[in-house]
Amino acid sequence: MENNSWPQYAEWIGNWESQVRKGMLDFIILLCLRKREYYGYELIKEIKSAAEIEISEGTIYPLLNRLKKDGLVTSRWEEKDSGLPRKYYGLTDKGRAALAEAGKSWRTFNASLERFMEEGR
Amino acid sequence: MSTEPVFSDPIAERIWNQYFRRMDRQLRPLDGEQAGELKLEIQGHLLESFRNAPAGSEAERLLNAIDRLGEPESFIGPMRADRLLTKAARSFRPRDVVKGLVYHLASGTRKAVLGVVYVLGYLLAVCFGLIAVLKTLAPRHVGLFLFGDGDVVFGFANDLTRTYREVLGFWIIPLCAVAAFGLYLGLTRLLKLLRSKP
Repeated sequence: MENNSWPQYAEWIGNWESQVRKGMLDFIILLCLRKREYYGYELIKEIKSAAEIEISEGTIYPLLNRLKKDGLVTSRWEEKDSGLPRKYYGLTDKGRAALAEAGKSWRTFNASLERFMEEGR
Repeated sequence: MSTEPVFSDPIAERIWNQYFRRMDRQLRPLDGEQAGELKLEIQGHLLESFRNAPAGSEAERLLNAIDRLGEPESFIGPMRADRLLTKAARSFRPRDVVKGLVYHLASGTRKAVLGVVYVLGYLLAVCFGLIAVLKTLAPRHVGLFLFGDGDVVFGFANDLTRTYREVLGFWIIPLCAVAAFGLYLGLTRLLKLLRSKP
């Protein structure tokens, strides 16, 4: 028999939300970087507050590395008077174009999903 | 410029050093510049996270910062596996292929299943190669044997007391060599399938 008790339901929602948000992480990073340059730690803070996402902070570095390899972001080091130098990331022109395209794609997908959800009511 | 913070608590210093020793091991396959930059970036991150932590001992604050950052094996591991697989797919060197697969197997269970398929594929390639070599050493016992009782053996047949017909002769050598080579090339070219998705 199917068990729809609240704790299992909540757990499923939690996992699903987490997966959806993690799947959008590349997109969220690009969205953050369109405003200004960020360094890793600062970017994580921004992502956590903007997207309400709980991720292991280290996971952002392989993603930034990949986005850089794909030519969507660029980076530069900035020396600090105190402490370690910071690596700032910013969007490239290719990154801006990719973000615009991804935004369109997201809106189309979202609209289709909305229609689909309305059909079920 | 110093790249390491100075802790007043020796335990915190030990935790820091141990963490970055583990990271060094993970970063080894990456090229020197990339590894150095990534390490410096992570050091900066951990230091800032540590400094921004609320009250607690240095060791506690550092452990909490590490907890938020994650273990180096979990977030550097996939990068390392990708890097090695890319290298193997370019060089075709067996050493790089083996190394790439070993790191890949260690990088995740789902991908490990694919890795096992690849390992079996490479073993099959080795078997084809061995059959080709064995044919020159024990020509009578190696081939495609059709036995009178209906058994079929491809490869090495030890017991040839039953009636049989061997159908490939020395053609088995080029056939197995081509199969081994083709499998090796094909699997190695497709190594990129094992790379983690963005």
